[in-house]
Amino acid sequence: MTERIAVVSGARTPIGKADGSLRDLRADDLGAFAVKEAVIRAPLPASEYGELIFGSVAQPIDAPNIARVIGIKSGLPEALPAYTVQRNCASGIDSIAAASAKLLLGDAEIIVAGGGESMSNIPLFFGTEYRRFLARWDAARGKRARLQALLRFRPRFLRPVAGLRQVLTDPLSGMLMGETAELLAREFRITRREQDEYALLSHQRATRAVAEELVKDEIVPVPLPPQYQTLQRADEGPRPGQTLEQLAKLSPYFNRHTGTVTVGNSSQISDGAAAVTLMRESTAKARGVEPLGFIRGYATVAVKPERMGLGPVYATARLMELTGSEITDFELIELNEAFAAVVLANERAFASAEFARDHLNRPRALGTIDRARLNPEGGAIALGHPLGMSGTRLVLHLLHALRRRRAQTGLATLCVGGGQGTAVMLEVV
Amino acid sequence: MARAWKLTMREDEVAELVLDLPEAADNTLNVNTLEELNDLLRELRDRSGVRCLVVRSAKPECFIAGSDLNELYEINDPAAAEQHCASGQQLMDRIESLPYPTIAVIHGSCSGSGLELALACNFRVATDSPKTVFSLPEVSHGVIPAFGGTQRLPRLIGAQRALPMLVFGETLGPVPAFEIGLVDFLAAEAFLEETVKTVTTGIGRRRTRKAVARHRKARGLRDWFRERTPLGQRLMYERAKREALRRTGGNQPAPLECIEVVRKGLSVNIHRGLTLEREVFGLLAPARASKNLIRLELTRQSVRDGHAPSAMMRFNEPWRVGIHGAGEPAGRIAAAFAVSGITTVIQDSDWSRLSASYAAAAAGCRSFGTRRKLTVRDLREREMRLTMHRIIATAASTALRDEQIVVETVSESSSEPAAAVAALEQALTGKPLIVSTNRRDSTDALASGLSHPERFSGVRFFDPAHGASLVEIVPGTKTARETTAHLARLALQIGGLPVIVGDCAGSFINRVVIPYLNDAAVLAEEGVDFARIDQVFCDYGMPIGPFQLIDELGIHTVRGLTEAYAAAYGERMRPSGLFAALKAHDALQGRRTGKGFYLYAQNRRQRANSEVTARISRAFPHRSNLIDEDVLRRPLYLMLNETARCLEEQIAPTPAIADLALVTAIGFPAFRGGILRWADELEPREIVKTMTEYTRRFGPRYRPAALLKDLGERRAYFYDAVAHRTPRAQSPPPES
Repeated sequence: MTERIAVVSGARTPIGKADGSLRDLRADDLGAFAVKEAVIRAPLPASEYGELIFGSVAQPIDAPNIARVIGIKSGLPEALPAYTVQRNCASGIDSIAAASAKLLLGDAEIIVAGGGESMSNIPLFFGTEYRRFLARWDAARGKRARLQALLRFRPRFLRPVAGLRQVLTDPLSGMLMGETAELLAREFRITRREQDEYALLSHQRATRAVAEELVKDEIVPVPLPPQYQTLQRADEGPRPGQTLEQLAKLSPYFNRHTGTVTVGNSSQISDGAAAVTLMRESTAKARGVEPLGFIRGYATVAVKPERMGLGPVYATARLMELTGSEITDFELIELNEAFAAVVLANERAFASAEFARDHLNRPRALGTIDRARLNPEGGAIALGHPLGMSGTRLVLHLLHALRRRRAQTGLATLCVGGGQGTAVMLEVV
Repeated sequence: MARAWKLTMREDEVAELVLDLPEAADNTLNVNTLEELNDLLRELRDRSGVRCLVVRSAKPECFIAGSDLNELYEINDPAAAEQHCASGQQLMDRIESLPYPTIAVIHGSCSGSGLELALACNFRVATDSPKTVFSLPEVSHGVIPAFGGTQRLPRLIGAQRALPMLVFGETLGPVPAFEIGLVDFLAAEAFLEETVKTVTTGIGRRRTRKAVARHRKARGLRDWFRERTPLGQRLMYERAKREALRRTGGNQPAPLECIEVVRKGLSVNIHRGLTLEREVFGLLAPARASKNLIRLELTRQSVRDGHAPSAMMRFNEPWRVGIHGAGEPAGRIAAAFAVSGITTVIQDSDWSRLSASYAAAAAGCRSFGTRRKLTVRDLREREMRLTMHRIIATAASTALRDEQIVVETVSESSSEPAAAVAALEQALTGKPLIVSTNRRDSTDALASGLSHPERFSGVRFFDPAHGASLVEIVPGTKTARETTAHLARLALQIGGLPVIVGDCAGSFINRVVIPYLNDAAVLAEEGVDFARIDQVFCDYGMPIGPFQLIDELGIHTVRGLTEAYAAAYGERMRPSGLFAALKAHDALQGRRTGKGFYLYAQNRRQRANSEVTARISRAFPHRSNLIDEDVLRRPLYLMLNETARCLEEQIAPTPAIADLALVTAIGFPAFRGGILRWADELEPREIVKTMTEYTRRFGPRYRPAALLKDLGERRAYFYDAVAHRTPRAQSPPPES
């Protein structure tokens, strides 16, 4: 990158559990709440925004180009163009990356970027067979034709297809995301207990962060329709009383017999949205704006779909090349907790000279990641992983966490379904 | 004088009558235009080579908006009323009896006599624009449609569909009007000329006429039952009567008379029906209720016109408003803005207050939704979401920095209100207009610490969540006229009625309403059952009684205000002991907490709260045997007395505006014309007498105000004696 991108302000909604408190908010409603607050926190007139870019994975069928819907619902000028990006779990980072590129090209001065998902509202579908049947029925004229059409009906047509399951399935290998995590667990010999211990750590860290009010500043409370009587202020995911025994009781979800990945050591299915306002560092300086922090660089890579969980290590290696940095430069690392197995596999890959040699074309290992610096305030296992939101949330949270610790440099990285990985380098000073 | 009607012959033997009232934005039918039309019709009747007549308007947004209310107001005896009615009816008959087809081409508002004229034509073509609306507002003016509307409308669309329009003033959009057969041809505005051409050429053909007849006849089984069977008819009329009684409390004759005219008129031929219409109109038009209602409407129009920069100008500025300090009132104000498409940012450090704002705003928006009859559930929900998104609650301290208009709601509960307002001004770098909703302090007192008092004013929103409400603008001595003008336009933008009043603690409405509420409490203290008091006032015509109003405002709020006004105005506003007796009870705050003088549970009729009754009888064990008349008059006379003081002190500009303001703000019964009009009717002299007696019996707060005494001595009336500053005198100066 020729110049750093300033993150001027940001906000996120609380994260709700699937079918929890936020279930009556559509993805675009959630997005609007995050965007409105991010915009209000930025000392910039709404008329000067040049674009709104939003990440969404299961783009709602009734809000195609959800970014535009969010733009209008946020009360931003009607003349503000908006588009939606989709790179699965990295959508919320890709919106920031796309915004950075636009800003650096001089296409815009200020951009709102973000990401969100309402996994509660991903619909069930009927299969294509049923649609064809209905089309034939509609077209049938006359009793005879109608009867003929009717005779083609099969009860199996009525079996619904869960949209959520489709979203979480890799279309190339046909594997559920959790099944790819099982592969990593085997490849890196990560035991069930290790995964459960990590999941417990995530809950403990998240619970402590709530108790110490470490994430309050990021969150804008949202009112709950249809009555708007109550306000959701906090994340629903973290379980304060979580124990290892409880986690150990759960049976493996993706492989009943020999699996290790359970719903307890996977990220939660949730609802939420986050947004940030962005401009070039020079613009911020010229306007006398004090930003939250800066984006120094980003990298996106692709790997084998079945090994999508290793995306972070590949992406970070690439980012380090691009920015000339070492793993020790990153004082804090946010590695999205899609699955405990994914975090642990990446930890091992980062530390392994063999992995570096075989897969990254590097003579030495990338370096060990200090647990204390990795996801210090918990992650998606405790908080939830609203797919499109997570990328933006990691950037937003990392900036706040860095500032709080008076640290300077951080790394946010995610694995991406379909076999990709993304990493972003952030600086506060 | 310029002629209003223009008759032109088009090449295809089509005569065209175009109404273009000179020097007016909208067309109305007055004596001159009717006479002119009469002459033209005579001319047309004798002219040959006319195949078809088209009646239309040259105004861009109006067909004919009804009769000239000023003329109606001048009708003072039954004979004149019947004469007025007869001439109009004859005119409509003349149009109807033309030997060739007549077609009304309607775009824009078509109401009152305008709709009656359209009904006298054989066919109606209308655009499907949202500007096109059909209505018969006569009953809301205390009369009934007089030019054949009560007879022709039910004969065309059936009584079942006609009654809501005739009796309850229901307005119809173009599409529903087409669906029920009021409109025969619907056209897009862009293709209106083409449609008119097709209709004029095709109307002679039997096929077209048959299609029109078929379209009008298409009715359902239920309509057949209601309109064609004796049982159904009875049910239909009974139901309308019940509804009319429910809405008026039996205080107004016009709706019931209207139902009777329709019922009887449909059982005889149209000529007998028209005679009936004439007789009833002759009875209603000179009556006092009608005069009161029309006067209020005329005052309302002149107040609105006085604030509109020009009748043709529309506001399309992207308004945005900030509210400093959350809570329920802030939410209700935000709802009024949001529904009018204005984004509102509510800023407060406390999220529980912000949450209360969201809840109050949602309730407010919902009541707008029901009012607009968005019955399709999905549509209503979507609109609701969009509206609610226009309200942005935030705790970000700098959120209002760049707003241009900021409403502050915090100073009322602050111990140093002027300092609170001054601190807000310091924090806002955008140099906005700051308005305060503080009901306790005067604008001047609040502005004392400001560096830009010219950009500051008091504003009270009355019942903002219920649409066309009163917006009281209270400029201080230093407030700039542009500020006032700007706020008046903002009030119009949200459908409110802006009234500029003088500056004092409580300004006008609160200052006169609080003594009324306080005195009702005093009555309860003396041992009159509060539910009975409310009933007396509802019978008088108030939409809700004083205790229901206290519950709406919040018991603690009312108590706080009485204390503040007692401090400002002394003994005559001394708070009732009733409030002190109910004091130490947090759950008992009124509607908001679901418990006050009444219990408010969802989906249940409100009923008197026995807990309160018990408390009152414990604190004040004696019973009173005050008669209903005194129960009604004591609180009302205090309201009147304070209103008289406000006139003296020029807090309220004129009697007419004071009356209109009270009718709009608290629903003072409109058919009574307002409190001053009511006082004039009772004779100020008599009122002074009664008040002197009250002073002796119940205390010095009933001592009549100087103005009232003066009127009594001179045997004069508010409406004649008090300098008649016209509403225009308070209009803002033209903008430079």
